[in-house]
Amino acid sequence: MKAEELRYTKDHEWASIPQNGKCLVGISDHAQKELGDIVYVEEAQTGKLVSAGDASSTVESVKAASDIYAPLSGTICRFNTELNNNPSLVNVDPLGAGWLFELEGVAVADWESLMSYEDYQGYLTSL
Amino acid sequence: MYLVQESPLSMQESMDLDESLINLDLDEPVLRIYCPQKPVLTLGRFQKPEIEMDLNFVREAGIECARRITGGKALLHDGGITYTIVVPRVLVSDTVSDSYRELSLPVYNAISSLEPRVNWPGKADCNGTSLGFSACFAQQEVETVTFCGRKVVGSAQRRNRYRVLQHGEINVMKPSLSEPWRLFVGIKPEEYQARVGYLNHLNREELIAVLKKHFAQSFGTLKPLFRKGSLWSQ
Repeated sequence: MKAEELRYTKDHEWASIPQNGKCLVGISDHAQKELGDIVYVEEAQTGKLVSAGDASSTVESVKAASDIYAPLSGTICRFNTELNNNPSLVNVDPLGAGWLFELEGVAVADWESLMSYEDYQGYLTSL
Repeated sequence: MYLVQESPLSMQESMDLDESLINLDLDEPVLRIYCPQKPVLTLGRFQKPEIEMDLNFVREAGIECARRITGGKALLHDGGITYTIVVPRVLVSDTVSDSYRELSLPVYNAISSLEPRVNWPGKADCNGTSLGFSACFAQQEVETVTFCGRKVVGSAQRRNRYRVLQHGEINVMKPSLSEPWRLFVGIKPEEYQARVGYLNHLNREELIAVLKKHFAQSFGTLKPLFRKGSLWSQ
């Protein structure tokens, strides 16, 4: 996925454009660099209803366990099971093969309210 | 900076207390320093004990087990000093590795004030790779604090949106448990002994005092924090 086509949160998660109410969720390149080498991704609980900002998964990197937050409200419908065997995909391809989970029942208006790529870049420079 | 005042707790109660501290709405760091009363094994948040531990030996040795909220590998607390520091994220760097350095600096400074030969950061002079061991103290990363080439401090973090919690264990006395390597699957006695060090020539109470001093220098004067049930007060 192209970075410019995604929307971002201040917690450095991204969400892809919803299609039929579904979107993929991952962490930004900035976030994966902050975390360092990721060695484990906790399986997000499918079927769980989450609100935007809820802790939805945890990743372990360099002996640090860090929460991952849902960027949007919805239901977790799929976890990227490739990460069970290869968590480093989050480092190698954070915006693509390293996606974390899929949300369904997502409102497009909520997605549009997240930061655009340009806004997110501005946010990063402000940190 | 707050210093938690607690009577001795079981290790699982300690871990539960730490989980409550990272969720406590305080804008100052919080420090706990304690010495487990008997040998206890803590497991990393995502470790699989049925694969990585010799559970028969753990039971046979009568070792209490507790699950940490932090990452990392299994750690035997036996004659050492355990610390927990919780810091608002705005007070430390964003990257995991940088925040490790910042939170580990007072620990290094404290130990080196009593034992100048400790080394940090530096890689212990063990041969071969150490990654993949189930025992925390067998893992030797670049940031490891070592004494005579052996790891003497193990630490791991838990991070949420607002705070970073770092657990650490300083190996002081040699363990009361004979053959501690038998707790862990996949490590040979000679590998364990080559990697795990102790500061058993230091006085534990003196080391606790200088730890408090150096944490206070980094994060502010220590103020007591008490717990009564679920309530906290200064």
